[in-house]
Amino acid sequence: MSVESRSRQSFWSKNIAWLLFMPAFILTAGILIPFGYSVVMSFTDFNLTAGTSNFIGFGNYIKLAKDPEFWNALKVTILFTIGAVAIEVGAGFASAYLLNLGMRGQKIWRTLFLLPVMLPPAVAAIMWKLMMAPIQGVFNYLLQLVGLPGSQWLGGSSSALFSVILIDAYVFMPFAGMIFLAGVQNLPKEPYEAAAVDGVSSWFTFRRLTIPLLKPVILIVLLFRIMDCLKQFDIIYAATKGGPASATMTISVQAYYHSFRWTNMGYAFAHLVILWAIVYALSYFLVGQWRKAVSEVHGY
Amino acid sequence: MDGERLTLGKVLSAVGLVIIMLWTIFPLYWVFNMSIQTPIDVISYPPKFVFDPTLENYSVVLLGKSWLGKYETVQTDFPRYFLNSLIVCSGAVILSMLVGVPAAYSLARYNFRGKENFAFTLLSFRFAPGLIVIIPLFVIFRRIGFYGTYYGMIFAYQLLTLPFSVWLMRGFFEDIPPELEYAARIDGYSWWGVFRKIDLPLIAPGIAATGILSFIFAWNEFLFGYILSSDATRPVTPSLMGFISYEQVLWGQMAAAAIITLLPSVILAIFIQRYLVRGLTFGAVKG
Repeated sequence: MSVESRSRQSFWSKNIAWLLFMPAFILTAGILIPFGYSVVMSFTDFNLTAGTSNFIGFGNYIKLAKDPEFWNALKVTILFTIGAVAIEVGAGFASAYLLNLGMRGQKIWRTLFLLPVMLPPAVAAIMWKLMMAPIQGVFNYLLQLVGLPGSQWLGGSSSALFSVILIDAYVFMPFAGMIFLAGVQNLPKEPYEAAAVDGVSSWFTFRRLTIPLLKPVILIVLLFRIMDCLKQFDIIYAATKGGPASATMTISVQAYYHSFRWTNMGYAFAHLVILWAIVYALSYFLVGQWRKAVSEVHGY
Repeated sequence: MDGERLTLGKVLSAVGLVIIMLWTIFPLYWVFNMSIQTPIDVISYPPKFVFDPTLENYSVVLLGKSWLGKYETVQTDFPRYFLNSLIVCSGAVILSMLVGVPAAYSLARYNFRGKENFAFTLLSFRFAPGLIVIIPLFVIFRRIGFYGTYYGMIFAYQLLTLPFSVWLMRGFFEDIPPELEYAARIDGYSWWGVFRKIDLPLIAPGIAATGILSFIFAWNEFLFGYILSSDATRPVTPSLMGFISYEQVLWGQMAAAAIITLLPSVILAIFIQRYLVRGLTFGAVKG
C-alpha cells in the first residue's frame, strides 16, 4: 500500500463520523439562515412595499407591548392551547382505556381511531367547515333532531374559538390516544399483581401506580401538543382566517396578516420571535421534566 | 352482584367506544357523502342521508368539466396540483433519505464533539413556528429567483422532513446491536460491506417507514406550499383554499377535492400503522 493511499484512508476513517453527518447538517443549517434573518429583521422597520429596512432597536417590541391586538392574540393563543390540550389529553386517555379492554374487533377499532391524525390539518378544517355551516350544516341539523338549539359555530364571535378547538381535537386526539395506548401496553405486570394481592382499590392503583408509571408518556403528549397548539396555523387559517372579529386571531395568524397582507415584515418578525421564545422556553422545561421522569421510571 | 356490575361496566365501555367511533368516522363519512351529491342535494335542508349518488363532483374537480353546463366550477387545475405535490414531496423525501441515512448512522454509531447539540438543534426546529422560517425564505427566494420553483419548494420541504428522518432513523440504527457489526468486521468485511450486508437489511423496514411518514408530513403541509409556490407549482393541500371563496355554491366539489387530497395520506398511514407512535413522537415512545 502506498504512503499516499494510506494517508487518504486514515483521513477517511478518522473523520468518518463528520463526513457522514455533514451533508445533512449543511442542508438543515439552511434553516438557521432564515431563522437568524427573522431575529435580526425584528429590530428593523423592514417593509416590503415601502422598501424600508432601517434599524429601529426595540421599536417593534415596544409597539407590541402597547398593541391591544397583540395582547388579544396572546390571549387567544393561550386559550386555544389550554382548551385543545385539555380535550385531547382527557379524551385521549379515555380512548386508550377503552381500546385496551379487549373488546371484540379491537384491532379494527384501533385502526379506525388513528385515521384523523393522518389527515392534512388544513383539509380537516375544511371538512369541519362544511359540517359546521350554520344553515345547511349537518351539525345544526343533528342538534335540532335531539332538541338542542343550533350554533353559529365558526361564524359566531363567541363560538368560533371553541369550534376551532374542536377541529384541532378531532385531528390530534388520536395522537394522544395512541401514545397513551402504547404507554399502557408497556406497563410492567409485577406492581399490579402485588397491588391485587394487597387488595388495593382500583382508584388507588390508578392514582399511585398507573399515573406515575405513565408520567414520561404523559409528558411527551403534553410536549408535542402544547408546542403544536401554540404555533397552530393551518387549522385556524383554513377554518376562520382568524375571524370573526379577531375571535380566533392567534399570534401566528396575526403575524401572517402583518407580513403578507400589510407587508410589515419587521413587526411580524417581532410577533414570531416572542412566540418562538415562549415555545422554546416551554419545550426546554418539558423536555427536562420528561428526562427526569424517564430516569425515575426506567432507571436510566 | 359482582357479575351484574361487570355487565354494567361492559355496557358503558361499549357505549364509550361507539361514541369515539362516531366522532372519528362521522366527519369522514359525511364529507364523502357530500362529495357524491348533486349541487341541489348538497345544499338541501334537512341534509340528505339517502339520495342518488353521482361522481360528477369528482369529474369536475379532476377533469374540469362543468356540471352539465348548469353550474359554475372553480377553474382549478387539480391534476396539476396533485402532480406538483408528488414532485415536491418525493423530491424532499429522496433528498432527506440520501443525506439522512448516513447522518443517522453517524449519530447512532460514532461519538464526535458537539454531537448531542447538533442532534437537539435538529429536533428544536420541530418546535419553531413555521412562519419564522417561511417569511425570510419567501423574501430570499424572491430575490434569488427561487420563488415558485420546484427547487425552492423541495429545499423548503426538506427542512421539515430531514430533521425528522435523521432523528427517527438514528433510533432504528441504535436498535441494531453494534456487536453484529464487530463480528462482521472480524470476518473481514470492509466498512461499506458491513453497512450494506448487516445494517441495511436490518434497517430497511425502518427506512421505508421513515420515508413514508416523511412523505405524509410533506403532503399534509399547508403553510410552506401556500406561501412559496406560484400557481404553476402549487401543491394540492394549499390549493384547496381556492374553493373556499366559492363555498356557497361549490360544496360538493370542495368535499370531493378534500377527499381526493386526504386519500394518499390515509392509505399510506394504514400501511405503516406499526410505526406511527414511534414516528409521531420522533422516536421518544417506541410503541
